[in-house]
Amino acid sequence: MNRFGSVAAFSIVAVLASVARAEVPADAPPVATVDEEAPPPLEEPEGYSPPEGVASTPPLSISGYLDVGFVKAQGDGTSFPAADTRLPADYGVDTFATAVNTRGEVASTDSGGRFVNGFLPRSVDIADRPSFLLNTLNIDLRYQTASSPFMVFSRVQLLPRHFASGNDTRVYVEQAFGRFAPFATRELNISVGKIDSVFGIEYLETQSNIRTGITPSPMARYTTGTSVGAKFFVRQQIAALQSAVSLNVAATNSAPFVESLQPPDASVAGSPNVSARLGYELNLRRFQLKLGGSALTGPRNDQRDRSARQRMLGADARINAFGLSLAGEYVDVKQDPGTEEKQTGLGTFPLASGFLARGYYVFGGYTLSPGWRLLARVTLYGRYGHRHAVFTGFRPVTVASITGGLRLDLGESVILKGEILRNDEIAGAPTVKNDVYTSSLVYSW
Amino acid sequence: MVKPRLGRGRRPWTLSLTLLATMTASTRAQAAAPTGWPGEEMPLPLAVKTPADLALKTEAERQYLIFNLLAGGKVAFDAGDFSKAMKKWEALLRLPELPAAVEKVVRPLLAEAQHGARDVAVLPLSEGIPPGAGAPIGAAKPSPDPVARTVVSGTASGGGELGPGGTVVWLKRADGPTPRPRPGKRRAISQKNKVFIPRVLAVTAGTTVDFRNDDDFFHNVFSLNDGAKFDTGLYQAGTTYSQTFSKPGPVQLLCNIHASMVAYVYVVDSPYYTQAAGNGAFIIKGVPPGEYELSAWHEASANVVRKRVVVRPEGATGVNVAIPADKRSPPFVPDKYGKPRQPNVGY
Amino acid sequence: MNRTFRLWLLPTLLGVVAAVTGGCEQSRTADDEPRRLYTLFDIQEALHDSRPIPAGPEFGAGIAPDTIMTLGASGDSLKIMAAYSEGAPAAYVTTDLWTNFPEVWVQPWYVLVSAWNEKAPRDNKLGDGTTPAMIDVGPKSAFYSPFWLILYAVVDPRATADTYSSSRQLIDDGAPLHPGAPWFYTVRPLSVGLVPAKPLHPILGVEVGNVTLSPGARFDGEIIPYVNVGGNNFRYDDKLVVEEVPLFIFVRRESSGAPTRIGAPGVVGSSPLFSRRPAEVVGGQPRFGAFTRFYLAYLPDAAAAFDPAANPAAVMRLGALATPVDPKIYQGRVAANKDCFGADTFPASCTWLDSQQRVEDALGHAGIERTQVSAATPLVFYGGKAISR
Repeated sequence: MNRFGSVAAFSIVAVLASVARAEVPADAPPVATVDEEAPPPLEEPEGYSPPEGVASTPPLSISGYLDVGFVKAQGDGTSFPAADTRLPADYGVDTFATAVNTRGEVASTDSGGRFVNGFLPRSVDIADRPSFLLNTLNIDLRYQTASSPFMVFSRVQLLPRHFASGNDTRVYVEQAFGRFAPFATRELNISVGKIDSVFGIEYLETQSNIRTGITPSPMARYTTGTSVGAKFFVRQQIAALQSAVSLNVAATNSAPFVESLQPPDASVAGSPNVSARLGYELNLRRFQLKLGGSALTGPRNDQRDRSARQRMLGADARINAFGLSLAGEYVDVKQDPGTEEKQTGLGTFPLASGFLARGYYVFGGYTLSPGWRLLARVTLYGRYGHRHAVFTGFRPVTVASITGGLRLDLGESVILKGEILRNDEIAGAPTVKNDVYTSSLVYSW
Repeated sequence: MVKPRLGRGRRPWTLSLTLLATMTASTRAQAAAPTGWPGEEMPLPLAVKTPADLALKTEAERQYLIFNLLAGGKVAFDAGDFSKAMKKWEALLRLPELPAAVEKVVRPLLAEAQHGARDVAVLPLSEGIPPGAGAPIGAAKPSPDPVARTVVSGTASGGGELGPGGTVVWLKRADGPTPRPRPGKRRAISQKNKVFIPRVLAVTAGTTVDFRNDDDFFHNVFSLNDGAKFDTGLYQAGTTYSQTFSKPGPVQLLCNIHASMVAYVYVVDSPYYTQAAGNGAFIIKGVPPGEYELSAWHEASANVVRKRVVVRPEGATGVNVAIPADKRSPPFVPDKYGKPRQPNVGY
Repeated sequence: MNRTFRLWLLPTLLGVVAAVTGGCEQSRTADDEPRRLYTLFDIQEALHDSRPIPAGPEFGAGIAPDTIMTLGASGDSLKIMAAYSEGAPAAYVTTDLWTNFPEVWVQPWYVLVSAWNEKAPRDNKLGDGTTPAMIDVGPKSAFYSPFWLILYAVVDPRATADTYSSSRQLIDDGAPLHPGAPWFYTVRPLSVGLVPAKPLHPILGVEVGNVTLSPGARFDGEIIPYVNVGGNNFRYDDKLVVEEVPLFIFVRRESSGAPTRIGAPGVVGSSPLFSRRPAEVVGGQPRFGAFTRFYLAYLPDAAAAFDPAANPAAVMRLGALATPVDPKIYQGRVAANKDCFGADTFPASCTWLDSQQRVEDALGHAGIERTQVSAATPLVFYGGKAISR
């Protein structure tokens, strides 16, 4: 082929090549840089809601927690001084001082054979021996269908305990009640059954996966018990003030004393105790203030003499702001002397002395949220409690307790706490070594 | 392009023809892509032996042309190539005796394409105008996004008892930076019958969401998520509170009065995102081809699910994402101060 | 919730509560008598109010306070009660009553000494004996009792009367505590004592042992006066529970079954009922009797109390004995066989019910009924002699 032919051939090839290139999809276009704003999406989703009934929680909900502790108490695990021969031995000391867990159980209540008259907590009977404890295996059952105004709730606790007399594992029904909320538009409900207290605020923290620390305050023994009865609650929001007022009223067999002091499951006196709390809350964006006043009156439910009355007055305050939690509560208790034997959750005792107690606690805690997956929150806390109590005719006893501790929330389900409880006998009770070093690992589901 | 070897004694013109044939074949082969598209010529050769055969073949070719223009325009439309879509549909509508049903479905879409082409004019390179060389007289204003876009579709599965519906799916480029998304249009979340509607809403960073109390009593909305903490305070029936979401990630919404109320706003940092329908199907439109990391978030899943996706020019279909329902519900719903609320307490 | 509902809901709820509160009837049995302690303060108050002290159905309307205490113009006085014990005339005072108490306990009584002398523990009392003792349980406590365990607390000799005010201080300071004898002190109103200062046996007319009226012990910042009725007149166990001995009150059963007192002196026991433990008497001092429980001793028809005025022949026989016997020795003493009053062998032929064992033997379990009343009844006269302090 001559030169012309070659040129022509190549020209044809070139033209065809350019045509072919044109029909070939373009190469990957130049990518927009990150600084460039992309055009608006062609379609912006409007959101998704599952069909009715799919997203609602199942009617039956089973939850709970496991609380395992490791604890060491000083002395012999009690507040009984060996040299003190006053009787009853539990009148001259604070038997609740050596609390080892959130239940308020103590390391020991062994009075060395000295007579006691029923002012005792439950004991884990470890004396001064360091010990692991399965404090509580708590199982909550809640049944409520989405559209129903009724709810049924029960809280059962398994409490493995060992005593010198042998195994003493208890199954304790802490709460079991039905609740009726008749109006969907109002915060109002009525609960009937074995219910928690309405007095004060500490009853809201009786469970170890709720309480910031471990041990209860010196006044918790009067305010954190459950009892069988009925409760009415109503709250009214006041939007203009970003506030709300609430009223809680209950009629129960017993005062909200812990069950080792006053039996809750039946009316011994044959007449209920009436208690109430009036509360105010200010709910600003970063600041919350809650104030309340409580009162109770009724017969002592530790004996049949209905004329032996008891009454309590209380005031409480809470502040939450910027990770800081402050709480304080004051309680004043008075019981008339009884004329019959005294019945408690621990048995029957000879006499029911007149009694009065005044006390308070202040609590402060600061929470940091690192936001790490395995360390959701770190809380440093401390509490000071003070209690002055006297059985009629007995020398008054004044004690104080200081607790300090650290709480780590390892994710949302596991809590690790460590606490030191220092007990001081200020007056009336001889000084004893009865501080407690305790820890708690709580797993919730 | 195949480059043949020069053999000894071959004549140059033979070489040229060989090259031509090779290039033509190559071109044809490349033009045959994308896979699956039948092309503009009927793939089925119909023999013509009689006038009836001719009449049939003519009608078949006509129908095939209608289909080609109709579907081809839609493919271009979905890919964001409004100009191409417009051309094909305009050509379709010029066909004589076009069935009314076809015209009925095409005209609205053509209008959208024309509208879209005005804003996002894509100048096909087949017109011979190189990018950035300026628009021809009379054409739409130059598109700020001269990128070809396509569709990514697939299905999310799993999600536990809630199902896969609402899964937030988004793409981020693995082969380069992802364009910053624009704030989306204003959205609304209603509180009605003590329920947030919608329960899950995906937005781009900077989007404002209006929270509307459609109940007869007080509500509140708050979030404790880091970087997205807010609190509407009490707001009464019929009022609205607006919140702008900026930080990418999930934002759990709760009501401080009604512990059972929960919703999620997921803030995405990509313009390529969507939410799955109730059956898990999702489509992300306007995605330039390339390599991506697909992420999927669901409220029942402990972690964001990720996978690599290659988006070809014709798109990516059949992208399946399995959502494990492995997220453990926390034991308590917190109040707006982070304190646990106990359902048995009731207040 | 509409306003109307809201307005009536809460009052209705409270009304239900009130109805429940007021509507429950409570039944009470004899065993349900109130548990109460009556100290001299309470007894004096009842005396001044002229009301009986409730003591259970066995005592009808109650125990008349004037059987325990005598109202006086310048002060009230403990009454000396005639009794028999271990076969001889005795006498006691009553200072405290308990109704329906199962047990009574010993409480610590702290005596401050500057040094410990085991042989003479009361030597070296702080302040030459002027420092008041200390107690931690006062008369308003249900656990108060007049039964004390003396603890000698050895303190710094430089301590004054005001240095120590509670047992807490002693225990905190680690003061050595040495137990002493059990002692009977009963707190009293300042206006309660013994009148006359040297009281006489109500039957025999001889002096009985005196009690010491002390200015006071320190309790909770106050000084409370007390009566010292001596020590070692009760026993207690290792749980500090005071041992009770019976005090038999002679009664007859009426046709209705109710008991009626015959008005004779009671018999103070020496050991727990039917224990058959020999009486412990050291140097003429009975180590019993301070804490008794009242038992009703139902007498058969054949038994009666000796009344000298109604049995002149028996009186003559007493005077005719080799050693003439004052008939007052037997006045009110109960014999199981009243026919012996008229016998020539009087008084030897009488089965006298003048000791615990004799009462138990004669009446047995069936004839002895426990009451809900226990009392502090320290003996001031025993074995025919005054108990010296």
